[in-house]
Amino acid sequence: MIELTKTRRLTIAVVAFILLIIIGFLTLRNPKYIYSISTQEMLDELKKGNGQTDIKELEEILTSGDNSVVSVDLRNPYEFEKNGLVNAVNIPVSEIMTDESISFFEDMQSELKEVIIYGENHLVSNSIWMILRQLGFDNINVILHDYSVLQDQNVKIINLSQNAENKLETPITDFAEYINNNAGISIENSGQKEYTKQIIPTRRKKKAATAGGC
Amino acid sequence: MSRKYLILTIVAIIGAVVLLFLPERSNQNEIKPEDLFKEVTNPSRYLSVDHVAQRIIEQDPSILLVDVRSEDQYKEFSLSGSVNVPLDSVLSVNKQDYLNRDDLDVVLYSNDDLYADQAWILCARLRYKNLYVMKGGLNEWYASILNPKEPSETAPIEDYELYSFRLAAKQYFLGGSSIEIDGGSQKENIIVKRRTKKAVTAGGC
Repeated sequence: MIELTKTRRLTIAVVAFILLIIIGFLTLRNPKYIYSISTQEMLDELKKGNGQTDIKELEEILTSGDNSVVSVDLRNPYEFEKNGLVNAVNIPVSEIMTDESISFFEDMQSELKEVIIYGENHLVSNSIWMILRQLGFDNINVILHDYSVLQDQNVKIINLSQNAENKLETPITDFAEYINNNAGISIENSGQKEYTKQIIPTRRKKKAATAGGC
Repeated sequence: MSRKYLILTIVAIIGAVVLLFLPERSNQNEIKPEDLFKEVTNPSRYLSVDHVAQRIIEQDPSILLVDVRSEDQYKEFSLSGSVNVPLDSVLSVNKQDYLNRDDLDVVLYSNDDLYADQAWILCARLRYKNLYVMKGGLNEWYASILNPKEPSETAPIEDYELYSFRLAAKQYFLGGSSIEIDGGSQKENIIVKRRTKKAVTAGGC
């Protein structure tokens, strides 16, 4: 047996170390999609109301024939065939994360075009908008209304319905007033923890990142 | 020292230093965008107002209602037993104990369901589980529970059962005499007319 002298062992160890590093670099796989903004930044965008387009603005844009704005319909192809808007691109929700669609959005971004997306209802369009925004597409605006508001008639122009005027998150009525007027028993400060329920906030211990070895 | 060893050591040190300063690519606390997309397009997070009402009535201890509206709106009115986490502060550290729970079902709601859904998506990216959104929000609550619509005569029986559930829920939330009986108030005296039974004229005489 070859007796490994101390220096030989050291050399082998160092060479192995270097090899490991090189292999690590080679096998480093870049993740396919990365978030380009943090959750806090996303929340800030929401607070500012960025990217939420009004129906009236959409109508103005589409009837003006402005080529720098592209509208994207998120519904499924059958619905789009039935009553999609003219010049709209159809990208169903299930195909939003395909290579094709992502490269479409990247093209739009590099051509400095604005994209307006809308879908079946405000929940669908909002979710897709948030995902695309977090992937870094900041040129996308969303219409937060149900599609029925955009529906066309015989000729393919937008027909604004009365509902378009309602803003989404306003309460239908003053709830407190309604409760006070209609409650059989008087409810004082209605709503705050009426039945005793202990909410014990659990403090979660931050798990230390398990270090390799000991 | 011979050159060979010197070169080896230098390469090793350089490699180690590069590793030290390598930018942190994967964030362990967040899910990948593809997974977020799958979570977001999965509609199982939406709970109907009827479902939530039932759990409140049953005093289900495994539910926690979270109001994501502003503090003023919360103080004015909110569902019983709910806590307030305004959308603006949904990421602040002291609110995470309400949102990041593995022992309760946390149901988010707002006036409609947009803000609740936005809060849900932000939390989903952070891998929070057990979060749900009440579909339709308080506007739907008002329309279905507080003002249930009587189903048409041709409606299936499930609609009637739902309607009577909603009436009962309304009674629970608004108190006893809030149900209007069609045709008049409860104070109306019902006068019972007694009809004297006429003797049956027998056949013949």
